[in-house]
Amino acid sequence: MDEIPLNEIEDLLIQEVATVTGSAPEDVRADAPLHTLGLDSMGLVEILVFIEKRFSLRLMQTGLSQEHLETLTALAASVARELRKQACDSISPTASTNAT
Amino acid sequence: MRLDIPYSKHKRYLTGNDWAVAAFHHTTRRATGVGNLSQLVLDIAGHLDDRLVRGHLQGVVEKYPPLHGRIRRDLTLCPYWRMPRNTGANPRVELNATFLPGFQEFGEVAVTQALEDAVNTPLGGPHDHVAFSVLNLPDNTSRFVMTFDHRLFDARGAEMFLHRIQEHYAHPDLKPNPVHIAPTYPAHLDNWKDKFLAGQTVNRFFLKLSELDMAVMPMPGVNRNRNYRFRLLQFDKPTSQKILKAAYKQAGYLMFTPYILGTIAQAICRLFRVSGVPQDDFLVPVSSDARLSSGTGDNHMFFNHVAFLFFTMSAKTIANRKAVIASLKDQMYEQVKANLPRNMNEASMLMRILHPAVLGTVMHMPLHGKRGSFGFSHVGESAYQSAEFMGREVRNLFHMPRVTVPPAIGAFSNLHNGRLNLAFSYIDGMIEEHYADVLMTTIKRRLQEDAEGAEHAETGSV
Repeated sequence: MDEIPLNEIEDLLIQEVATVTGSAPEDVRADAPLHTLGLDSMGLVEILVFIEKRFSLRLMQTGLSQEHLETLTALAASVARELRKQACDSISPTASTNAT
Repeated sequence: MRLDIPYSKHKRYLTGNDWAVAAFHHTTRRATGVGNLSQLVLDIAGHLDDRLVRGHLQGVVEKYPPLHGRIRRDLTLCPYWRMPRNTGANPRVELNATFLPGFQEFGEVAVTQALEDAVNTPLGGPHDHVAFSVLNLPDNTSRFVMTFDHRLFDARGAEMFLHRIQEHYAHPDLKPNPVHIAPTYPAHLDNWKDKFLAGQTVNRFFLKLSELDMAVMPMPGVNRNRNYRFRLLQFDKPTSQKILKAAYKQAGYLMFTPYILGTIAQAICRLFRVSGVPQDDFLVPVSSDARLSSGTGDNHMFFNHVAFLFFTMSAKTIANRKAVIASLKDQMYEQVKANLPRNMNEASMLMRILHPAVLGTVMHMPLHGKRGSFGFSHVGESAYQSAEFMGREVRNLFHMPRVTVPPAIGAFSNLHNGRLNLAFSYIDGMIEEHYADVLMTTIKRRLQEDAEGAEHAETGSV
């Protein structure tokens, strides 16, 4: 699978936060802490569910700490990192052996 | 098939959630003589002049016709809120003003009793959905209380309206936004297939829940004058911030709801145990604000804009808080992923055909007459944004909801200006007073311990 550019992931997340909070995308700052964007537990879960549906990544189970998801920039980087990891795993010898 | 009903600015069609709240109102009134009421309390520095307050409220209340509305029905099918064409120059404003001398002797206990009296008093008549009280205390503080009918306001909407009262005071020329005068909402008599499919999904979810052996506190005998009792817990801002930090450490960033619900559930489990309730599993219905944050100044002040989630907690693991919090997060994730809140909104549209009395019974059928072990809601940071109320400094804001019957017992939290408040509410006679005190002491101690431990801790993971 081709690697999705970081800025594309960030744009998708901005769009989703705008949908969840009802804000205009241009008002959603990627470098602002998520709680200042109007997100609470439920809002964050909606974003994480979006990430699972869009990128097939279940971040709830990857043990991300606050620094990895405090802003959309950090969250986009986490998504990119997890996608890279997933891609590496899928081509690693162990994974190939398991697949066969 | 689509049924078109002519638009009228004097009608606001009720959503399925609004209609469920109307059913809760009915069952609660039948069991206690008073409906599904809640109240907001402003803790104020200084006394309020009740004549000034009454005059101001009179001016505000006449600007908002939904406050004088009543439930009606179209085509015997679709319920709506009928708003009067003209509220008249002097609509009735219920304001009770009291000076509380008992405060010197009994302190906060006397205040809580006075607040209980306010929320346990029925509203004046079928067109009355809000009442106000002013309590002036000898320590030169006061409490401004807005008691409201949950059919007209949810918790966040009530905060928004209270803020609007202050805005009208600060800006006397302020004109209400037309959508606040007559909030419109379509009848939603279309897309029947979608509603039935959503109903099927919701039904399956409840069938699964019905397999639980649910722990419930037995209801005391029906008494038309049975009141609700409250215990209130308030933290100062520095402690509240430490508790938030502890929540993020234990549950992950922004995961305050699973943290506080887990903490409260453990304490309530102990309460059930000392009260002799069999140690079965817990089912907790949780309501949360479903407004988009941009909708706070829009068509969202009146009526119910909430989403419901249902959390289960196993009797075997409830002693392990880490496991409880992890399980609550997982359930929240799975229910959001399965679109449960949206499906419930959609499916509940079908229920509007039923009379509230029938709906109240039907809603309890899947869970064999139960609705949950206890209710819970976290309102989040309050929508009341002013530092003042009618020229006086606001020190705090908190909620006191009468938990609907059943389960008639529940806990609620909110944040105001960074301060955490907890209210525990239960029907009189359900539990021993001493146990209610122990419950609050247990929760307070646990949160304070967490706050102290959080100072130098790292944040946990989601």
